[in-house]
Amino acid sequence: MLFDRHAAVLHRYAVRRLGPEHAEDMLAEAFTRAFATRHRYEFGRSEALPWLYGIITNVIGLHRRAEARAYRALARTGEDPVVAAFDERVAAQVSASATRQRLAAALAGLGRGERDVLLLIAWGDLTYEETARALRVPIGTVRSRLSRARRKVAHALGGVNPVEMSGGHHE
Amino acid sequence: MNDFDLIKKLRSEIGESEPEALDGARERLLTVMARTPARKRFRLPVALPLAGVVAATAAAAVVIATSSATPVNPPAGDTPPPLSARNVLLVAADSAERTPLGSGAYWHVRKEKDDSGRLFTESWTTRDGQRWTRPVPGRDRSAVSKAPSAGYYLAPGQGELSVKDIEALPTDPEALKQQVTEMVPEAVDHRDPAFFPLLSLIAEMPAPAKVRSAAFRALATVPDVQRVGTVEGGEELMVRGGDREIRLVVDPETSRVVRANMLPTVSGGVAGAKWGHFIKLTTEWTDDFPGATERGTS
Repeated sequence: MLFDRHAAVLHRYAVRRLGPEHAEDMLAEAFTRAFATRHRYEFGRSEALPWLYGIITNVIGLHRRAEARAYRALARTGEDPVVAAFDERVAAQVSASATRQRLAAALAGLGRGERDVLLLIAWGDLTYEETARALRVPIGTVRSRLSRARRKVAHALGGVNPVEMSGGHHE
Repeated sequence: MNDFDLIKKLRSEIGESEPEALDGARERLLTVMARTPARKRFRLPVALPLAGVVAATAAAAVVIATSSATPVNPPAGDTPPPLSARNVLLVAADSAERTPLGSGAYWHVRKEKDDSGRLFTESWTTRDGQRWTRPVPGRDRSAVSKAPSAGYYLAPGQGELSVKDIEALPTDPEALKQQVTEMVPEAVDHRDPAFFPLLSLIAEMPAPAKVRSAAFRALATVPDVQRVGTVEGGEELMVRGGDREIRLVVDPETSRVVRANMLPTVSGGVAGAKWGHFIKLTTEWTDDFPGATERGTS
């Protein structure tokens, strides 16, 4: 069954973006949507995963405010509420660092499409082509969104105060 | 480390998801799959599910060809050896009639994973309609708490029965089959509409000996049930149809379903084991009840 093959990686991806409380709901919703529209797709082993990543990305998108809130909290306090919710002990071992705070501020400031592309590639390990298929956009759009996102991240790392960055008007 | 590697590393402390974290989502998906009406599914112009339909039809044809002539009620004392699914079920029907489920104040149902033995769910239900369950979401896995309802479901979200309703079910196989089928108006998958309700009944409901026996006999009349073979603890049976075949292991001697890959849940959903695995099932009347756990003391 498709679920048993892919659920674990998709769940972890949802946890990384939104935390463990909602990940199970996201997963159930994504697979229910996948089941409802399965007749439109052919399930090759390699093809199902990008398609499922695309669906769960849409589901995660419904909670983008909560997602951005957590990045901003990390940027502000140095403590990541998502990692803390996943495991208090792990969170305690993750030392606060200016770099993490700046990364989080940058993520909070990305547009939705930029963040989806960046995180599907960085956290979901998708190729450009798979990301294009997942989000149903041309591969050129994937490349341009990724380079914009990386430029913003690099800029944030270049010493801009993360709190100021996170106070932006994007979310 | 460049910016991209730093992003890759962010939140990488979040480890691989535990199999248990997926159970709830799997249950919800299986419930949705089971509720999808059969007719709508057949219309789907899909290459892959269609192959399954063809295979299921072919398998059904084989079973019908080999077993349709056997009478539902064989003469007493002349039970054939358990070679076909039908015979396994008829032997179990005889055992069910001979052996009551035991006595005790609580009907105890325990489901665990077949590979790790890890607890899936456990419940204790009394005749007067009270139930306690564990695990409780968000609490220590050993915590036991009162459940809001004490009903059993014949199919996902349909055909709710109390312990007293179950005790009052017909003891005639045909009448029982008809009644439980009527109680589940929405067909589950494209299996025979009697299959899922009868499976629910024999798997985990506290039915009296005569009702259980009737349920096994009724199940023996449902086409498409195939015997896979003798396995540890009993006889493995299989029913194709739907998006996933249902497999169960029946111990004909004790008339218990000891394992199944898919079972209805007390909350009206469907619990499914991972592909290739089973949920191990223990059912009994008992006085042994750990008691509800007070909040904060678990």
